[in-house]
Formats: sequence, structure tokens, C-alpha cells
Amino acid sequence: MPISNNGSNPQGPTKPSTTLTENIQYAQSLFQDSQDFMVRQFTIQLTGEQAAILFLSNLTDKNALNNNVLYPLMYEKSVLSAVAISHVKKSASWDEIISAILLGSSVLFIDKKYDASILDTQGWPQRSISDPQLEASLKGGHQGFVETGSQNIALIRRFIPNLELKVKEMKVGQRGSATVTLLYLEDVIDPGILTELEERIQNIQVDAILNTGELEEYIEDNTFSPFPQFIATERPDAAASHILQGRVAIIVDRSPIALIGPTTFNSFFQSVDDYSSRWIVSSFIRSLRFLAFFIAIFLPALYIALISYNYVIIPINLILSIGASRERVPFPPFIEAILMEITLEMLREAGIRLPAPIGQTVGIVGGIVIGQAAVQAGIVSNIMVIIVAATAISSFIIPSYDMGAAIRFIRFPMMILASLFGIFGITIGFMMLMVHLITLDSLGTPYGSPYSPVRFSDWKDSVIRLPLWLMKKRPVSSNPQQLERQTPSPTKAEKGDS
Amino acid sequence: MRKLMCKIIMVMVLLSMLPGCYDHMYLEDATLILMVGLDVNKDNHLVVYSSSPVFNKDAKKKSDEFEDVSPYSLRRNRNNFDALSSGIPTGGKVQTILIGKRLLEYPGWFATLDYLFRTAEPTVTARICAAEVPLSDIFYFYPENEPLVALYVSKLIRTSNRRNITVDTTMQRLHRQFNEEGITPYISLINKDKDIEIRGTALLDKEGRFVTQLGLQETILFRFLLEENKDIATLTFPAQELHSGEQIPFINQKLSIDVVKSKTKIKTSANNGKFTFHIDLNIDASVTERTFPFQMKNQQPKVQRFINEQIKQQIEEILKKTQTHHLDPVGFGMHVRADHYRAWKKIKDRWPEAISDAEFHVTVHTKILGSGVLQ
Amino acid sequence: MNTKTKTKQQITFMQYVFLIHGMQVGIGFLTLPRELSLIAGTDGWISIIIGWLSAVIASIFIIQIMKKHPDATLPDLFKIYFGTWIGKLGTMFVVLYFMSVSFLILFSALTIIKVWLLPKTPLVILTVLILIPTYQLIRYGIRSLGRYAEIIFYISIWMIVVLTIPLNDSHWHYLRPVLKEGWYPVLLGVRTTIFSYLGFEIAFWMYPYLKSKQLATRGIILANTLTMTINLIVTIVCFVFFSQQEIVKYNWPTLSLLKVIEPNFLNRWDVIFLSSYVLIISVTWIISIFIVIQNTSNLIGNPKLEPYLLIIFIVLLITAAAFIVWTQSRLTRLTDMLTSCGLILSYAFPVVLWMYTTLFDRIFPRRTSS
Repeated sequence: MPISNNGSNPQGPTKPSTTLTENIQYAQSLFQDSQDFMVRQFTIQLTGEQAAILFLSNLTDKNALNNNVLYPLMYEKSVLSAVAISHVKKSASWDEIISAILLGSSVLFIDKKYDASILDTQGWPQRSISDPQLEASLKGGHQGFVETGSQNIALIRRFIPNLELKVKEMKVGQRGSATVTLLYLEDVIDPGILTELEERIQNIQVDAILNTGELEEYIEDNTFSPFPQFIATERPDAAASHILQGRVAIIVDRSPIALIGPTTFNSFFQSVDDYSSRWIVSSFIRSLRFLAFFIAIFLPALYIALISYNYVIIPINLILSIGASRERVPFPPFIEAILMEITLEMLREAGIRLPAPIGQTVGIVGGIVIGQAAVQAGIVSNIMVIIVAATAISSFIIPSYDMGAAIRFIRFPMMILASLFGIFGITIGFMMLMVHLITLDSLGTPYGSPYSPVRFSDWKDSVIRLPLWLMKKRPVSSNPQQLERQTPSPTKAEKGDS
Repeated sequence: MRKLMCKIIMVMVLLSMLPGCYDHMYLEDATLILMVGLDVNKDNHLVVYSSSPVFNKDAKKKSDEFEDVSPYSLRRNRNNFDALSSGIPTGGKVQTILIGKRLLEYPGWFATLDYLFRTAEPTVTARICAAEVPLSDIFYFYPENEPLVALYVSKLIRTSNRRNITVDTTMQRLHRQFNEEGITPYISLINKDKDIEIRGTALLDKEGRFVTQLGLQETILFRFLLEENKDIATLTFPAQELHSGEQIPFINQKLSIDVVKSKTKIKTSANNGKFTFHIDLNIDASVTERTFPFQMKNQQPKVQRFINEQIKQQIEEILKKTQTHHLDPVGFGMHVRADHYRAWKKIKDRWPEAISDAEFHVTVHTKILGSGVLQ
Repeated sequence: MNTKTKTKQQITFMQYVFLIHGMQVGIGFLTLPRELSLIAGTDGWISIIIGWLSAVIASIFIIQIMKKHPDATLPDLFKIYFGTWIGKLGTMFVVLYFMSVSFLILFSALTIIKVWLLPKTPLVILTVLILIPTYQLIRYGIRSLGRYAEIIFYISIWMIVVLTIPLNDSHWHYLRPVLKEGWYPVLLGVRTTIFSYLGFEIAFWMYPYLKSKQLATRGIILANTLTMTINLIVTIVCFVFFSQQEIVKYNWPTLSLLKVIEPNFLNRWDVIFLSSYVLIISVTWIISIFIVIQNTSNLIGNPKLEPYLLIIFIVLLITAAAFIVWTQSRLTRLTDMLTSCGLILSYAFPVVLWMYTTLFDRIFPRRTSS
């Protein structure tokens, strides 16, 4: 249902007239400077009526138009109702007709009839299904979302062929109206969450939403938090898995990323491969990720705190070697650390834009040679290089790009606190971090779950992953109506549920 | 409202950072004192020594030593070190504290260490050790294999502890020994000939004066009594009586055992102010050395009896030594207090005298686990 | 921005337990071994158990009172049973008491941190730092307090384990003979230990938020038992490690105890411990400030003012840090004063109030509770 119209219909007639030429003239006046607007006039063979097809040539699938519409009407004895197009809609409103043309459908006007038919002949350049870029998986599928909403919905439908999977459409954006689709399981999801989400989307007042990231910013709970409050995924199997757990998947047309909400802090440490590998191995890797989380945030800060304030904690042998390497460095530990960390961030950011062949070389040159040279020149100590390397590797282990970026950012305030107040500063930083996670909500559900509030039943899929046959319940955090998995819906009988 | 709050918070945070950090102590600016020494020199002045490592790779000497004669106090002395050293002296990582033997002739020297207990910064796990030579010999000694004499001494004490030939008295434990009525203090003892070596244990009286010492094997047995023995405990006995035959010159007949497990039970009984202690020592050992021919197979009970006798003798000698000197390093007083509280209350103020009148009955039970690879 | 906060926030059973327990564990257990040793010697651990009994009895009285009007807080109860004006007076006392408690706990904790970790940093800066997360937590409501107390408890369990490491070097016969001087010193020691259980009176304010009210009594007993266990472990470890003469010389025996631990990779556990300990103590002052704000807004009658009251109070705390010199003797005097007040509020008051309200209800049969 259209929320806002394209704004392209000024005070003109609202309904098409019965005269074909008037309609054509009116349409041509609206699409004045658009060279791709085509009008094809013809005679329907069977009835002899004058007809015209109006369409935008760049958005139309010419094959479908020619073979399924024009040819039957012009050369075979077909009536409009027998036109071989799957989606035909009659419309008596210029608003609808204009929107349809702008979205790629073609509109058929028949002389002396006042309602036009909107034919679904959309066809625009699109990418074929390929590997997801950010979320490569070893054992999972290699299909990622593409830029067409309908294809993405199709991919998800393949995973959940179920009547309860609802696909709700909304339009966002005044000028570049994007179709936002919500996918969810009706008998599992908490209706309150759904209403909240719909409200938020409807309240967006904006020109256009170009990609999912922008949508995310408009509907999230706390824009000031560094932590992402929606999962952004490129994988249909991940999206399907979350839908089954009682969450909503938001697909934005023209964007290859789906948003999942409500989320918890825990979800960002889960990856699709965890469920394909053996559970002991997965648990180990999961724990590794959480360890990496702490290392990435606290290691540089700890180094600064220990060297600047509380060296007594370091055992004696380590102190001597650290002291020897620090002796040559002219900067205080804080400056040294900031220098190295910022250099690393710049290297990483530069690496994104480098084409593949150069990227490898620069990586080696930047990492090894420059680092070594810096140590020998006495600008940094070798302990610092090791710490920075460990931090960088840890932050890349996190499966979610947004969460990894958040962690990389939080490091810096932590370092500042450590440089001012030592270990106590780190304690304060930890306290602030914890308080922030405790008070953060995602669509009204607590973000810190299952750690705070503590929900032991959800721990089966957190730091460790217990065998799947032990996980009989959906996670409590998304507040689902139906807690037990693998239960058919009580109201409708169907086959093939999950 | 929210935005105003955020602004206020940011301003406050920035303000708090303005004056800069206050308490920082960069590692490379610190002069880590690893070893401290207190002694009395020839002119009867109190001298404080300290040894710390030099971090600069290009420096010729690996460590820095400072000497302060007649310091006002240990705390002020730190200020004097400040003026001499190129860093800020810090006591957080002291490994060893050496007390010169001349200082141990004076009572109450422990009070000078008060600063190390009162401030939170210094460590309390430094080992305390008495030295039989003047401390200047030790502090200005540069061994070839080990660049820092401070680390050398601390490693020496640590490994000797593992072999049980000296005691493991940290500052904290010494503090406890001085503040406990039922025990007299004991600390490690080192000497320096060509190299620094461990001599055993120094026994002190309640005021800290040096009274007598225990040698290496005596210390091992002493630790059995304390139930503080660690991994390796080797006892060697002259075994003439086991060997039937002529005495071989140079190669004296010796029997050595390695004690695997030991358990000590001490029972007290009190009769009208006279205390009797029954000490029961259970040892599991294996024979590691036997420098004379001997048939182990049928004579195992004989060997066991021999070892029992030997150990009993040696322990009794140790106890007699402590008794004559009015010392109680084993802590029998604490046992009396636990089991006979009323009797303890009567004599607790003169316990060192009371123990000289006590009687000791020692029984040793050895179990030989095996004699190694050879018969 | 934030979605509409539910008008009636609720806490779960475990959160209720950890809130009460967290309030009880404050500065007390750092100094408890020394205080107890002075009075009762090594038999002090028995006093802890007796103290626990008294705390549990007083707690049960509190729950019995609250059961009569399940959704009312203490100020509401005051109004019902005493009338508006005396009720307001009572609430004012409560506000003053908790204000002083928050001052005391906050500055005592920060002073210890100053002594052990950051001697030269001005108290003001430490105060500002630690009040930032405090503000955020209280702003969000009781739900976040409950979650915070819960998670702090779980991540602090390792500290109790660490405290038992010095047991290697201990003399268990310090504890013998039991009851060496008889029962009298033990009973005297109870006076000291009951102070360490102070904090269960916050049940007066926590009870209305509890989801499953029938578990309230069980919860408060559990909280008291947790506190007792921790106090007991700490005290016994201190008693077997330090000799009796020694322990009275240390101001904070528990911290001095930790200095002794010496694993290979990490020395000086007292520094690590103390930094984590701040988190545990923070529960105490955060709850106190929360109660102050709540009851003040109740007095004034306008719940919307709560955010502003919070800011005013925080500014007050910062000013106090900046301009008053908090010496150890000042803190000790404040502690003595407050512990006497606390004694009355927590132990005597519930019993009296219960008797009063029971009589009141008999004489004036009340309508069914709101």
C-alpha cells in the first residue's frame, strides 16, 4: 500500500479519460524530458480497438512485452484478458499508473475504455546470484542476496516453505520510494515487536532510502551507541534461521543486505558455519570469538595501564625485557600505542580500496617491513607491534562487520582511560561498557540478553554451542509466542513444518 | 534534556583530563630496586644498599648499586637514592632483602622495615635472608654467568627452597613470626666465598638477634617438622655400621635417600606447666645412593631401622640446640595454645624459657619404596 | 530513541536476591576480620553466624509488613498508617539516611582506591568518572539496576576463589581451641557483625517491583545467606593466615592477604582485586542513590522530576568531593553514626512497625490492598 506517492503528479486529472489520444498526450506531457518513455500504438486484431502501450524502455523486459503482449494482441486473436502475463492489474487512477510506469511496468490503454491495465513486464539489469562478500562460509550455501527484493524474498521462501511466513510490504521514501518488506513467522513472533517495527518504519520522513544501512539508522533504538542493533546479513540461510527463532527480516529493494531484528549482543558472535561443524569444535571457536572480543578492546589499554601505572603486576622476567625494549622509544606508551593503532586502522581502510593484486603486496610490505623498520628505528617497541597485531587479528575474528567495527572503535576511549587512570581507568571503562550494554534495547527487548538479564536457557547457544537436539526452545530474548521449536501451529494444519 | 546532559558529561570528562595524569610511573623511568640490603659497617653506621637493573642496552654495567650510609630512615633513604639514580626508585618489585650479620646483633631492626609494610606500593613477597659476609661483598659482586646479582641471589634462594636446604621466609611470613607468641623467627642464610652460596637457616630470637644456625641437612629435617617440605629432599647418612667389612679410605660409606612423602604429627601433653611433645614422623623414601656393597633384599628392615635411628638422632640434636638457646622455630607454642589453652595462658609471656624445660619424644617410621634401578 | 518505558518495571527473583546481597556487601568485609578479632579473637566466625540469624529474623519481619500491601512502597505505607504529615517526615528521614549512606560508601571506596592505586589523583576526578555510569544506570530504572546487580555477582565469583589461595600458607590451629574464652566475647562480637548485614532494609523498596511476590521471603533469606558465606570465608581465611597479634595491625587485612599470592604470570593480585571490587561496591551506592531519588520524588509528588533530581544529587556529590577533605577519621565518624542509624532502621524498626501495623489493622479494618 503506497505510503507516499512519487510527487510526480501535479494538479492534473486523477482518472484517465476515455479518449486514447488524450491519455497519450497527457502522459507524454508528464514524461517530457525523458527520452526513454515510449508509446506504442496499435490495433487489437480481434476487436479492432485502438490501443497503446506506455512504458519506460530501460526498465522493461522487451521480450515479455513483445512476445506476450504485443504479438498476441496484434497478430493472434487474443483478448486482453487472455494476455500471457502473470500479473495484470486494472487501474483507473493516474497516480497508480504513473507509479507503475516508473517502476517498470507497462500500461495498456484502450480507446473508449477508461480503465488501463498495468502489465508486469519489469526487467532491469541485475546481478546473478553469487557468493556473499562479507560473510563467506565454509560449509554453508554460496548464495547471497542480490539487489532485487523479489529475488531475495524468493531465496528466503526456499528455506521456509510455510504458510505462516508472512511477507508484508511497505514503502519508504518520498522521492525514491523503496519497497521495504518484512518477513516473519506469524505464530512465533511477538506481535508487540512487529507493531513497534511497523510504526517506526511508517514514521520515517525522508527523501529516499538508498540502502539498508540508512534504513537501520532511522529505525534503531539508540543511534549514539557504537553497537549495531540490527544484524545485517547477506545470506538467506542466516536470515531464515533468524526468522525461525522469532525475529523479523527486513528486506529493502535495491539493497543486497537484509536487516534482522530484534537482536541481542550474543547474535553478533554467531555465524552460519557454527551449526554445520561439530558442536565441540564450534563451541571452541565461539569461545575464541568472545576471547577475541576482550582482547581487541582491552589489550592495548592493559598494556598502557601496566607500563604506565601498575608495573608491579608484571612478573619480573617480563619486566626486564619490556623495560629494555621501551628504553629506546622516545614516546610515552600512550602515544606509541595510539600511533600504531591509527596506522593499523589506516592500513586496513586503505586495503579495502586496493585492487586485489596490489593489496597482497602492500599488506606484506606494510605489515612486515614497515613494522620491522619502525622497531629498529626506535619509534615503537617490539612488544607494541605484537600487541597491535594481536588486537587486529582479534577484531577480525568477529563474524559481524558492524560489531567488529564497533570493537575497533571502542578500543580508543579505553586506551585514553587507561593512560589517565591506569587499571582503575580500565575498570571504569569496563563498567561504562557494561552499563551501556545493559541499558541498550533492540526494538524494546534487552540487548544484553542472555548475559544481562541472565537467562540460562539461552546460554545453550552463546559462548558454547550445545548439540542441536538439546536446543528445543527458541531464544527467550526475542519474546516469541511459541517457545518450543518443531511444533506445528495449533490453528492451521499443514505439512512440512520446519 | 538528553543532549544537554551529554554536553555536560563531555565537558566534565574533558576538564578532568586537562591537568593531565597524576600518578603515572613509566616503566623506563623507574629504577626498579630488586634487592635491598641493611647492614652495619665498620664504623658502626647503618648502611642501606640497593641494586637495580639498567635498561639501556648500550650500558656497560648491567646493574646499578647505591649505598647510603646513616640514612635517617628507610623512607628518607629512598629520597637519597632519588638524587643518585637516573630514574625514580620504586620498591614494587623487590626480590630479596639481605640483612648483614652485624646488624643481626642488634635487637629491633625489623622495625626499620615498617615503610615497606605501611605503603601499599612495595611488595611483601620479598625473601629475607641473612648474610655471613659484609653486604658490600655481595652487592658489588658481578658474577659472569648472571648479569644481575639481584636476580642471581633470588634464583639461588628459590631453587634452594625447592631442594629444601633453606627456608622460604618472605617479608609477610617474617612479619607473622615476629608477631606470634608461639614461634621464633627463622630466615635463610647465605655466604660468599668465590660464589654466593646457601648455608642453611639462621635462627633469630624474639627481638631479631641472631642466635644460631642450622646447616643444610638440618634445614631439611627442620622443614619436615614444619611440614613445609617441597619437591626434593635428599638425606645422606654415614653408613659405617651397615657395612660389614673393612673401611675403605676416601670413599666413605654413605647411604642417601630421597624422601617422596613425609607426614609429621605433633602431640602435646601438659602436666603442671611441664610440656611433653610427641613427634611422629612418617617418611616414604627411596634409596638413591649406596657407596658400599650391601644385600638389600632381606635386610630391608635393618636399613629402615638404621634410617629411623639416624633421623631421630639428628632431629633430637636440632631440638636440643633450639632448646639450649631458648628458641622455638618449629612453633610448638602454637600447638600448646591450640590444645592446652589454659596452660598456655599461664606461660605465654615467657614461652622461650618454658620450652627449654620441655621434653621431646621423637619416633620415625621410614618406608623404603625401592632402591632405584640397581639392587 | 528509547521506546516507551513500561510504567511498571519489574525485577526477577534472582535480581531481587542479588540486589539485596549487593547492597549488603560493601566496605564491611575489608575491615571485618580486624574488628572482629579485636573483640572476639579467633572465635569471631561464630559471631558471623549469629549475626546472620538476627538479620534473617529482621528480614522476615520486613517481608511480613510488605505483604499486607503488595504494590505499595514504604512511603505509601507511611501515609496509610501514619497519616500524610508524619508519613512525609518518615520519608524525609529515609532520604537523609540513604543520602548519607551513598556519600559514605562512595567516598570510602574511592579513598581506598586512592590509597592503593592512585595516590596523587584528586578525589573529584575519580568521583566524576565513576558517576558517569552511575547516572546512566539509575536513569534507566530498576530494571537495569537488577540486571547490573545480577551480572556483577556472576562475574565476581572468581574473587572468592582467589581469596582461598593463601590457605596454602595457613595455620588452621589458629582457630583452636574453639570458644577459648567462652561465649561472652562471641556475643559481644555480634554487635560488630550485624553491621555487615545492613542492607536488607532495601527490601522495603524492592518488594513492589518483584514479579513473583510469594518468593520474597525465600529471596531475602538467600541473599542474607550469600552475604554470610562470603563474610565467613573471608574472615576464616584471614584468621588462619594472620596471627592474632598481626591481624590487628592491618587496616584492611583482606587486601594485605591478597598481596601474598604469587602465581608465575601475574603478581600483585591485590591491585587486580581492588579494581574489580569497585564494581561490587558500586552496587551499594547506586541502589542508595536510586532510593534517594525515588523517595524524594515521592515526597514532592511529581515522578517526572526524577531525572532532574538525579542530576542535582550527582552535582552535590561532586561538590562534596571537591570541597570537603575526606580523611580517614571523618569517614570513621560518619560510619559509626550511620551504623547506629542503620541498626535502628533495619533491626528495630521493622519489628516495631510490624507490631504497629498489625494492631492498626485489627483496630481499623482496612479495605483490600491496592
